[in-house]
Amino acid sequence: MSFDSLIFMLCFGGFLVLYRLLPMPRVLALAASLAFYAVAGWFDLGLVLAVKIANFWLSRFVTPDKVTPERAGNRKLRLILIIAANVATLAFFKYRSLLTGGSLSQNVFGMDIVIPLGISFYVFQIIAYQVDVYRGTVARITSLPSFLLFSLYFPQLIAGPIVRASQLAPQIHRLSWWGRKAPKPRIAISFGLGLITLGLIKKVLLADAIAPWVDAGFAEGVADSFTGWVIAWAFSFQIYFDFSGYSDMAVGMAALMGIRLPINFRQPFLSRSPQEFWRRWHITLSSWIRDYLYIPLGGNRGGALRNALVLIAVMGLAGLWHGANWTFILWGLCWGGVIFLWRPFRHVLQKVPGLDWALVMLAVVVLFVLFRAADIHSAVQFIATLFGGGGEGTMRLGDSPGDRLWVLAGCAALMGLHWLERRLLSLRTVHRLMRRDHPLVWGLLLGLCLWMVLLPKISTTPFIYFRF
Amino acid sequence: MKTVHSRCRLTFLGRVVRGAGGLLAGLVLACLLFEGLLRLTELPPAWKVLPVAQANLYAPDPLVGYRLRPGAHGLWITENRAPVSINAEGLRNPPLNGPAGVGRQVYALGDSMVEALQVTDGETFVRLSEQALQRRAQADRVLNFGLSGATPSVQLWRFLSLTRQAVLSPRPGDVVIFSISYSDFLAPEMAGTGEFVGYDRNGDGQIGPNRPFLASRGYQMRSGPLGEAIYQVMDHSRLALVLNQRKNVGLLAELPKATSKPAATAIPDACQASPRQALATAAGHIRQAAAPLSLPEQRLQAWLDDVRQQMVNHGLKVVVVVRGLSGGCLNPDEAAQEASLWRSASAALRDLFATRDIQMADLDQWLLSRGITRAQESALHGFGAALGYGHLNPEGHRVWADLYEELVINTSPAACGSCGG
Repeated sequence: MSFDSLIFMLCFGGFLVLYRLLPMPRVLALAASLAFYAVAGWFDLGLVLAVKIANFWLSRFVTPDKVTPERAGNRKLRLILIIAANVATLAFFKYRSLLTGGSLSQNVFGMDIVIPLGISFYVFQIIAYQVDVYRGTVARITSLPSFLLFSLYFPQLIAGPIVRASQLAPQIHRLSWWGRKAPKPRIAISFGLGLITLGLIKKVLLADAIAPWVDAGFAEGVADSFTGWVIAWAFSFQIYFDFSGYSDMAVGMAALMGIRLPINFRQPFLSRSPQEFWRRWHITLSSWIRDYLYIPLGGNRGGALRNALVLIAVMGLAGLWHGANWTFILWGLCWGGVIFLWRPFRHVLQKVPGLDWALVMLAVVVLFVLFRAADIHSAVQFIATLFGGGGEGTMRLGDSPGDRLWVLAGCAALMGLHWLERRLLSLRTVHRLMRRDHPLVWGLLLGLCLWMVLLPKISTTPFIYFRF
Repeated sequence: MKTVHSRCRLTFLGRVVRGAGGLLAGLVLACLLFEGLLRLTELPPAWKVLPVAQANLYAPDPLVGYRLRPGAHGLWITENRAPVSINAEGLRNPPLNGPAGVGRQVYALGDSMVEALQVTDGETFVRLSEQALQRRAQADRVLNFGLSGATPSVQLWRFLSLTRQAVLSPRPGDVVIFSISYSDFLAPEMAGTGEFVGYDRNGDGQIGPNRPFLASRGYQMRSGPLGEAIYQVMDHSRLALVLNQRKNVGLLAELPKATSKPAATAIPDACQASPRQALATAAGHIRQAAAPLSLPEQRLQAWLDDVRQQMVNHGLKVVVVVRGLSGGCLNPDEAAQEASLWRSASAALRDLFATRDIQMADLDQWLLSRGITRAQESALHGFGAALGYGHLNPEGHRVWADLYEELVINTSPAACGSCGG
């Protein structure tokens, strides 16, 4: 069930009323999470429950044993085996085609892709949990229902943010199973509704509006360089609005339930270096990769060559996480290369105002072509067209100079909205919303949300990251 | 004590009322804001990209059941986006001002393929074929009588109704071109007995609107005062249009469905019913009619008789463009195996039509004769990423315009004179 659907909004509204009124918030949250996931299908629900219950049971074998610390060696081995089992589960369901002799050419933007919903997210979340328990940075959750609620918590279940136990478990423990009402939201209801409204604006009004043009551009191919740049630029914003819109809604819904989830995006297209971009884009995945992959593999330690290899390999794996296609792997590898190459030149690039930003955007837009293209051949064709190669496609935008000006104005408007979002999502806005936490504001935001989900969909595209 | 209690209660009630009032005021404000936003997004060129409310172009009609609303205009956003306007006569044409002129009137009857709301008026094959005829110095005027969902019987009955209302005044020699799908005759709607529009015969054998449809609850509501009020509101509010569109797609439209592929509405028409049944029916015409006629055959023959009686006998030249006679929806092996049977069926149908002085044009055969294969034909349908599915795109309209131009030329007195009448 998608967050931008009327049926979800109605269900969530009904749930929230019960959640606030009945003295069993944890029961309701768990029931809602199970019901939410059950819509995806009984198989998917069975799988996620099996993975979670197995990990709940296995987590006892990695818990630091204060009585017999000498058995730490075994614990590490057990952790490795548990991680391997989780990765194998992910690989079996997501990369099965590879295991059965297929090629790395899975088109996740096609309609025929079927993988268990949200598997990439919840497997990563559970791996992080096991590592944290092993490291002792988080206490093992000893109650199965609490563990299930932590790992199935519906706002973040399908497409993140990838929430860690240290962030979510203490908040879940504050909810009572029975006897106390849900805690009052620690931040304003207006803030939660505001984030949901912002998410819907991004998804319904912007991402879905851009989607048909992008889909057509990548399906038909682009005929000229101008069209290519516009479509690539548009896709960059489509995926940002789509994914960050989902994340905003997740954070907003959790806020209405009195739970704080981490912010997943901080206007990444305003970044002035590739490193900064990854600190602002899909933040919870970036930090997951940093903490559980990059640093354990050596991180910045060692010589430049080793450092480059680690960086590129990690980014390649991050690309592979998105799907079994060379396009994703290449996308990740290229980002690794860009980050590595940026380091020695960063001081020079910062001297010319705007140059660093322009180069980062160039990398973002061009590399997103790799991400979106159905296969390497199409991606190479598209990128060649961007740089003046003969476009083999048929899509052409802007027949006249006047039309082209409008198209460019539209592209600039997307960046303008991005900048505006940065101004909007400031601490001052949060304070302002807290001061104006009033039924009038609730009604206004609620009304806007309802109208947006009532709008018949321009595009039937589900949230892009549902495919991963 | 009592005073303190009542004061507390009053304060509580006051807070509830104030809260509810605030919430309500917020909701009203949201409605106003969203109405304004939807009006803003209709401004050019924003309407090409941003969400807009789709215009309501249809209304109930006491004779035909439903019609395009005279004077309606707005944006059509399903499949593709196009500004659409309906003229005062309820047709997708420019205003029919003044007398008909010296040339013939060509009435292009059909369903949504002819109505062509997905493209601008200037891009429709009706307009393009008229322009092509004018380039040949022919003064013929081609009129768009397309109406979404119009079965062959609705096409015929609508034409007759407009003639009886004196909206149209066809003259002998004018041309009527039906556009139908062969599978239409397999559908129960053609029987005119269900709650779908059609026509029926009264006791005198005269054609009239079918009763079950007019008696249906939906029609009664739409044509009553409540329906009238709803249409009025939709004329003035974009939010009402959004609600209407949401009603049409369904409140729970986003719930997961078994299939997510777009519905193919245009190309494999025969597939929409049962292809084998279509084939069997078509083949039935080849067999000599010693065997009893099947229901679709009966419907087809009755319809042809009505067309002859109501049109041909009044001096109109009638052409029927039939699509869905190639069996392309069968799997490739079967299609190849049965292609000759389809050709025979098409020829037999052409003979059947000819017995009523009606010309039949097999669209699929015509496309093949132009070198447009089945695979290439799919490129004439759909828009953007949905290329291959749905209604005609501008390229498809250009190809169909050639067909209509050719049909009109073939029905000209000169052409008929040369072909020996």
